[in-house]
Amino acid sequence: MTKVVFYSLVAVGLFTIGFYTLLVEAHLLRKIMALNIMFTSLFLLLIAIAARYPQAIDPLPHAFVLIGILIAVSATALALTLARRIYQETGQTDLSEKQETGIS
Amino acid sequence: MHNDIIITSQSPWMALAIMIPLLAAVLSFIGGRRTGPLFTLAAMVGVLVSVSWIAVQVWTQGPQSEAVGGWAAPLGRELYADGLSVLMLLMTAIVGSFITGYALQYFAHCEKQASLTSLSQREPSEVSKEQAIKASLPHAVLSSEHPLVAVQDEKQHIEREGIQKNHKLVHHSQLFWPLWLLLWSGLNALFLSSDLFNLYLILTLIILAAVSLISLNGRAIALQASMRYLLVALFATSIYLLGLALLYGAVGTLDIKSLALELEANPTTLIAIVLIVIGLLIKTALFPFHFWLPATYAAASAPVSALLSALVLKGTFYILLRLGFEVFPIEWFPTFGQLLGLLGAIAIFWGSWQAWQQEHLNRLIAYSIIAQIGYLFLQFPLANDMIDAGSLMAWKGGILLALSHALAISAMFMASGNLLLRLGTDRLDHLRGLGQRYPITFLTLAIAGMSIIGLPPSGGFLGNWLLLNAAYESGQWWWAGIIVIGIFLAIAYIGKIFTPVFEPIAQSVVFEKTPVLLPLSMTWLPLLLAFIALVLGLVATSPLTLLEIGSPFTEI
Repeated sequence: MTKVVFYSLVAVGLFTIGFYTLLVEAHLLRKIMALNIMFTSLFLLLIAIAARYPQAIDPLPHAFVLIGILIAVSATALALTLARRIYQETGQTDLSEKQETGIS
Repeated sequence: MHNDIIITSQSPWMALAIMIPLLAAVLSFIGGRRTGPLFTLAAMVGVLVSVSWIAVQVWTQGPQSEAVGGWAAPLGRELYADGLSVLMLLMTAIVGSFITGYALQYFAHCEKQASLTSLSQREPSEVSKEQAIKASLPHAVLSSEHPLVAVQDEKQHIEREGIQKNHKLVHHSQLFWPLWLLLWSGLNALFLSSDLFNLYLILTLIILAAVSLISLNGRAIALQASMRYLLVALFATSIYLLGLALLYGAVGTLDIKSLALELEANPTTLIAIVLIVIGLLIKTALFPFHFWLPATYAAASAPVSALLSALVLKGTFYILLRLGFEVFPIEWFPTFGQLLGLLGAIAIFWGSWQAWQQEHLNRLIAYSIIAQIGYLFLQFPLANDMIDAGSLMAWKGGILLALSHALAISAMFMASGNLLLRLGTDRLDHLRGLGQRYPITFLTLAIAGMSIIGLPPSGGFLGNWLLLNAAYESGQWWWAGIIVIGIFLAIAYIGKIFTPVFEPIAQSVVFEKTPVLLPLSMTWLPLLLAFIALVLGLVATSPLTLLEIGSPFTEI
């Protein structure tokens, strides 16, 4: 049981780090990385939960993680494409307001 | 909680309602440029048929469930339909069909305009360009020395870039169809799903489609809006998934029907439920999580804003309804209900105030959505007893409000898109005196506005009326006060659209050089949709009876 608690705490810590970075950093690439850290922490949490009974591993969370990875990859791909397009159109790597009003 | 016997359906209509648009999306993506509208129309017919079939089945036989691939509930992903999901499916089908029709004309019109502008740019230099090409071979040295030709070359280069940009725009508008079909498939799946992890998957699918749709017009402001929406939405779903993981760890199932039986009130499940609800509230844009909404909706093209505001917001709201009334342990419900109602009340005031302050029509409509979302959450405190007739009334009223809002707001966005196409701007002071020029468009705005304010006989009126009655029945008079104040605020901001319209045309206002003629259907389709929202209050008996099938209140 202690192992499960340990990994769950690590997962929550990672999630907090990701959340903090997502809020604080302005650079889009860092925001995308922060989201990926959050996703990874959730996968870790699900894997930890899968092992909550020592006698048998629950396979269902593993399936969740597989689907979750799929989603994370496609979402990251879309986010990266958008970030590149924004850089091409505006020359900036963040979503700051001051440039935005000038463009419209 | 379901007393009705759930019939396991053998026919594949629910799976078809999801698979038809999904298949059409893939095919139209492969098929390329011109096949999009064709596949969309085919999918539209397919979805309408399958959704009406499901509706008839539920109407005659009660709630239905369908095991996909023969796998039953605890392990497999079961589809489930009752009155509420049928009503949501019908709403999606009706609003979706209207927007499809509108988008067909909208993008054709944009395309025509783009090719016209590129032609008119090209025409004067077309002849000289050919001459230059002819001349360039034998007189290459000469032409590069000739200053005039060099200047023209440069001009042509700029024009060519402009044409390429227009082509890009045209190409992007072709991508609308597969993305919209993907969104439609996701929405149908959402309303038929009864498993929380399945819903996570579907929510992400909807987000990816919605983000791409917002960025479709390729303007920098739309790209930034879609990026912001993507970040917020992914953050929201990851919080939702965190809640799911905790809930699964505590209960061991994510199926809504099993959760309703097995969920116990303890600290772990409380944290899990709070996380799930926060994730969904961010996606539903309830105050104070509304920050992403106005910029996003105001930046997208008209059909896209109509889709997002009418359907995507209602998707997460639907999950909240399911969780709130069917899953939450009864002892938490009063607190949760009051809290959600309080946020809703603040949203009504804040959204109305912000809407009233806007100078642009699109932004005004976007802020009005925040206020209307607030109304949808008033049913949670009013329906907290779960046993008396007032609760059922509040629940019905809230859902009816959601339906009529979907109809009215999409009509408004389409009408506002028409104005934007004609005038090139949506500033309210540029609408001065245009009431005579565009009577149908302003009539649409007025009728949809009536439904949003809640004037009789609109669906919005009946929804508000049911909520007021529920407030009276349960003795929570303060919610009644908020509803009434909200109606007056709505009159104020909807009225703001029409203040300049009937004023005489100012001398200084310059009309567009060549009047833009929109196809008739682009003005009539929104009007028809707004009209449906208006008469929804008169024909609401059958949807309200439909809602009772499999409702959490059937024990009364």
